[in-house]
Amino acid sequence: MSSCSTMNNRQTALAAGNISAKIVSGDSEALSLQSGTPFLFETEILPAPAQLDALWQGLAASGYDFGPSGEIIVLDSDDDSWQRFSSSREVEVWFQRHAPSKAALVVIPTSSGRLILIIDRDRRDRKPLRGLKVEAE
Amino acid sequence: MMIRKNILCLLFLMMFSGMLWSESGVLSYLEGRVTMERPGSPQRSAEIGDTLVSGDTLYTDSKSFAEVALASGSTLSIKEGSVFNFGEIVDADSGSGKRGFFRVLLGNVNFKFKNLLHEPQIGTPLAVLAVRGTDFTVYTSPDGASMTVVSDGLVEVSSGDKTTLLAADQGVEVTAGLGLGETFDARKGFVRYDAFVKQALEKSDSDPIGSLNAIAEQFYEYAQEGKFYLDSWNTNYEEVQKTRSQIEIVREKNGDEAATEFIQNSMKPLQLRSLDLNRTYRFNFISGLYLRRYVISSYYIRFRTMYLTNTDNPEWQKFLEAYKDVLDVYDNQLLPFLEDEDL
Repeated sequence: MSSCSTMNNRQTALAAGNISAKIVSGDSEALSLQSGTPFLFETEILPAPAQLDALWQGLAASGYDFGPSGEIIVLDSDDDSWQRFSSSREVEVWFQRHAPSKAALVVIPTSSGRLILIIDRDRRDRKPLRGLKVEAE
Repeated sequence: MMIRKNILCLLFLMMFSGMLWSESGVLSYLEGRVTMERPGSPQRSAEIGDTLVSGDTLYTDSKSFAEVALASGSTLSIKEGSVFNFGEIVDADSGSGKRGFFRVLLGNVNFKFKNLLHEPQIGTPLAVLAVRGTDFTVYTSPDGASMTVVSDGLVEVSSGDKTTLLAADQGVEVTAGLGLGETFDARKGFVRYDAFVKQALEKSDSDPIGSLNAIAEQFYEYAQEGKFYLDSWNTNYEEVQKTRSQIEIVREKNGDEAATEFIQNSMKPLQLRSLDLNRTYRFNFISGLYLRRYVISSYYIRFRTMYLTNTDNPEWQKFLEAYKDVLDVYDNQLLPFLEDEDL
């Protein structure tokens, strides 16, 4: 599983921590630059960079406390991962066609729920963030 | 200089290789980050000189810009934060049987048409524009509303069963629920995309349920229309199969020449009709998909982030209910007719 171009769980958690810090500080511009399209936001597939700008700006203005409140958990994406986001066929197809082959689901506990990030473990990917969901407690 | 020369050569080749129809173009200039997507393929960075064919989509990032040159000498300027789809529709009156259909799905695009042989049509999520000439800009807001401003020539804007003809220095808006608005004076340089978006979002945010219901109706129309043409395609397909089985019988009975004539007169028209019906039902289903991707998504992003810390808010609950209803129409009426490659 692990090779020099692939991040292991600890490295993936570190990368997710960096992304989480940008979400906490509301650095929309940096987040847009690190997000690959088509991006999965909960039940929605966002193909355009302009939609990602709107998403990150909206999350920054939301007032939600994205600060991690516990240990970051890294899971491998599997055949059932899509069901965590939606029961729709198009999200299932997104996982089959657009999710990176080395995708990880990173669970970050927050004070009022969990933040789920889809991250490409491939170090060469300049836009490793591919999806996000805010789960309630 | 060399790049421009190559593009001219490419356009010249396209003209003489029988590709001279409005649906092909070349990315003649770009600034910043521009992404291109061809159906069934992953997105990739666009480059100057890339050829655009039917189905291709261009995405411009913020502070980015792209220019497309058509073989006719016309140019399209795709401004920052835009989504532009390069397509075609069936047109029996055109020599090629097709007509360009360009969609401004988000952002703003300026069109400068020259030598209009087969005027293209322009689509936004909620309106269709018929072009009579020559210089105009289409603005599409994230809620699907559009504004068309004409600098030169005439443009006919239609939404639902209403149509208006715009002359130079005139503009019109189309919004979900309200449809086609009144024509207004719009002098060049006096219209700002950001101001239009702000106003459009304020309008749709004041009645999101009404806007979502209007979109659900639009989904329903695309689904009905698409289904009608799909059924016609199936009937025609059966006819094609029957006719194909007769070719050998004709050949055996009346010889090769009669068989060739039979293919020409009976088989070919059916095959062409099959192609037209296929393009038309796909056009409707894909139009529904675009409405889902660019308009519904934008509503969801706005309302979800607005109420992220207050999910018990009755406004969010009402939105969620209408959102689920509109997705129900999409999931049951449109999604079954889309290919995995479309999604």
